Amino acid sequence: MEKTDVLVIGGGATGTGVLRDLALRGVDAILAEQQDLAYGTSSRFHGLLHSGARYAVNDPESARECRQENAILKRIARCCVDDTGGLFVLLPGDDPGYADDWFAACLRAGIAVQEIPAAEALSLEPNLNPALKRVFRVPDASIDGFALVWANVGSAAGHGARAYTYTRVDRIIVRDGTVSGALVTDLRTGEQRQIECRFIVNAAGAWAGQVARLAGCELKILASKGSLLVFNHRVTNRVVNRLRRPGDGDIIVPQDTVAILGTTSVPVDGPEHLGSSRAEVDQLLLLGRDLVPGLDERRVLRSFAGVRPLYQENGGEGQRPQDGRAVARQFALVDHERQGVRGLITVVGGKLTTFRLMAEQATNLVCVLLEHDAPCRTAVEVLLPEATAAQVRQLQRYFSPPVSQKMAERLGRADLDQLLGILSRNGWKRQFVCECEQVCLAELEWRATGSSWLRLGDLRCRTRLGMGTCQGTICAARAIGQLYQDGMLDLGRARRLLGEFLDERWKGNQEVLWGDQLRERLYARNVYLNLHNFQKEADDYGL
Amino acid sequence: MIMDYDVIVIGAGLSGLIAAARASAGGRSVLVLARGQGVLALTTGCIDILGCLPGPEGRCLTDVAGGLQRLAAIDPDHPYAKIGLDLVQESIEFWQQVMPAVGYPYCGSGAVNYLLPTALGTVRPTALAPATMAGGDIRNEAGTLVVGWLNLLDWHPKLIADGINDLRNRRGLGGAWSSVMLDALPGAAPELTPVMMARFLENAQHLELLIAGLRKSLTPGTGRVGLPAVLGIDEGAALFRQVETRLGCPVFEIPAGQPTVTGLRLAQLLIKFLKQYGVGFRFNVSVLSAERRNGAWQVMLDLPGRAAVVTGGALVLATGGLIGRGLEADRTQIRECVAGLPVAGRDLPGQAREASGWGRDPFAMAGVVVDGRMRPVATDGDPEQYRRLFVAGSTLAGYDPAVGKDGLGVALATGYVAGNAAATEG
Repeated sequence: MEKTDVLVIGGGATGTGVLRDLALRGVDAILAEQQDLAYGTSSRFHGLLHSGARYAVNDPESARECRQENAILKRIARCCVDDTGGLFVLLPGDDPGYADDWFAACLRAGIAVQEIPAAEALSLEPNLNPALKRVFRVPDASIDGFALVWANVGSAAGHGARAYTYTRVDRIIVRDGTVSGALVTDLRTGEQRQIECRFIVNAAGAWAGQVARLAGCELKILASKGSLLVFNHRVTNRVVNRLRRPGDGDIIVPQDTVAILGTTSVPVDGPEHLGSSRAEVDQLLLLGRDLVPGLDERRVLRSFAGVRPLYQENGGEGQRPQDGRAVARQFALVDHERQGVRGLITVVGGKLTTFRLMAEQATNLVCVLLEHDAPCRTAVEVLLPEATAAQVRQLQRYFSPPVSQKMAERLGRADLDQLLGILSRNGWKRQFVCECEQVCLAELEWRATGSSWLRLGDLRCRTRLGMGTCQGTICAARAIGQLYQDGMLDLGRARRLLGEFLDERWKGNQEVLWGDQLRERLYARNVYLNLHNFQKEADDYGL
Repeated sequence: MIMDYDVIVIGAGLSGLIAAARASAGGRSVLVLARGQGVLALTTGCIDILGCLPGPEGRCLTDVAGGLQRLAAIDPDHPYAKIGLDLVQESIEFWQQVMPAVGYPYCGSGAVNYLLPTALGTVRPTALAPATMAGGDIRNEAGTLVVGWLNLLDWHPKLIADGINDLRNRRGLGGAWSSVMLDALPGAAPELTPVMMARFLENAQHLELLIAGLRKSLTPGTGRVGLPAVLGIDEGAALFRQVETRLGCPVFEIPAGQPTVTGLRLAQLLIKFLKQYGVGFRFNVSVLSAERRNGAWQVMLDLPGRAAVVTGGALVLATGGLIGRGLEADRTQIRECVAGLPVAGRDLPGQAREASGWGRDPFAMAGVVVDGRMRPVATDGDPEQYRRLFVAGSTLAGYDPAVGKDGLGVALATGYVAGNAAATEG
């Protein structure tokens, strides 16, 4: 039987953050995630690394936490952060008095806010509404949730931690009121096994209530769905916030080659309602148009939705708030001992920007209970060591300088070593499998051999394959073809993965089928269904 | 530039080119206007007449003639049903006369389908295939070697060979396909698309290198060689014949990548042929509008710095569907872009929810509704307004080539009927 000190449930930012923190403090730990890492809210958000400014008025405590964590992440996680800076924009018709209150609140929270002339803002971001009244700079940035979560696990693994994906926790074993382990199922093999442990940290996010119930504990989690739209280019080069009380459709975040507009806030019953409706899409476009005139005419690649898990301390029996934003975004640390189960703690709520702090406080509590005395090191140890100048020079043997630079920034030192190793053996693997996001065959090979994965979508999340304008039309067949050619798939799996991948990409643009995105969808169907007569279900092609 | 023609064709995809060929063969002066290259390069270049019936009967057809009879009975809105099967047959015969004259012959009677391999290791049915592809039928018993090069994109020979063997085994035919991956051709770029490789091979020395490499790969069991479709563009089947003769072994091409060499080749050869026969072409030109005035069609062109008008006795609209931009969809409706014809298929948000991508697609089915002579029906107002206007190809409603495998077949038949009507109807 596998044994460990702490079992962490949930492979999002919080869970992987806890895993890394435990590992750096020398505590033996295992993480179990029912899907792939970052399956839940950690990837289903706009990718905003908050400066804290958005919360300055309503939630000064969160604002201060964000300010601190923003600075820490920019230092330790440079490979995951695009330090774009952010703007807060006061539009005509919005309350000018709020702007003054907000500015004062930012100063109180210690946020580096600075007003700039409207003309300067428009020269920085020419797409903004030219009628804007006031503009402020803040240290907002863009962060890649997938890369962050993988970097956490990579760092934790370097200190002896283990992370199992596609591993569902079926039961938490409680003996004499104390947690002693869990029964888990490997969803790839269907095999069930037991992991023995002294503590369990429930970091299952939107699923935290379900996990608590596995130990017989009640935990009230309110689920609030936020829908977002992905545009096919960087509408703005900086994060843009509308300066008013936080509401729907008031944030634009540039992410690599695309930009994300969010969000809505709709109460839902649970974490599984992840689609966004046409009405939400229309509403977002209408609101986004205020910030960027003509935004509703621009090309939308897809819509997606995430669920904010909001903890309600006082039961909240039968209550559903009209707006999830009314519930504090601060996080909660629950020791279930008061419900009669020792050794189970839940860390829930908060936001991605403060994941490290949440992890630190959860780990502090675990260490107190374990009587293990070691300081937290996650704020000082670099998460992913950066590429060296020599590595960038080596990359330039295969790629142009700007492509090399971008790859180096995205990948970090250890992954680049692997990539360069593959390229030195097979120079032709410089070929791009995904031209939109510039993912080469060598990177695909490294991600496919160096990590455990089940779906082509898992490799997409590790590489950005298929996330650009073509949404998989060109790269899906290339990736499957190469993985097959390299002996990593059998034929049945190759066909199944391709069908699944296209299905997932197509479901994401179901509600944005007009204009050029509709053309792209029909073109993709032409390539797969017509030219290749590829069918998702039929295995004998009707012969 | 002459400004007055008997027939003006808008669009240089297959339906436009066939309409132009038919009208020209009928003795009419013809001008083809095209915004871009046409979407032929996004097809396999094979004339798919019918590969699959709609609905639960949707299996891969080999009996095309029988399939057409059944289709006409169950799907009266399909363009073939409107034209009538006799005219479909006539269009096939027209094709079989034209292509030898083009110097790029097609194989097949049109009554049965070949089952040709794809670059994904699947199989697709098609009725008329260029001579360079027709030898690839997967039912053939010959030991088949699929060859690839490391620097060629969008080409995975092992996936093809194993995929076809799998399908053959399901039919009890036994696996007879194998694959080999060769090093990059000397002198070629480290990353080649199939179109780049086709251009590279149009140089005689480069072709020699290719043949030498292929020769070394042949084994005693090799009965035929499967290549990506890269054997030149401008010279038709000439490079293919050269490779086959020099190897002393049958060869066939499989289309790969986007655009496809076989689609591009067909488009270029047809255009060159039609030019020789006096059809006028004007590329890279946008049509602003087309209106019937004083008994003729006036087509307004958007030329650099000015607008110009050409007139024609008849107008063939072969502007393409949503992919080719003959139709455009905004968030609430689809419109026909040149003449403002009414389009079947409304309530777009509702349609979007039905469009999983895999089945018959409401967006692909949308288009202009016509009668059996390709004249728009159900137009509002004065019927005189649309006199001597004929619509062909993907602009039409009622079929989805991604499912029916009938795209170029419908383009051929409707282009033929439209060209015929434009040349003859008074």
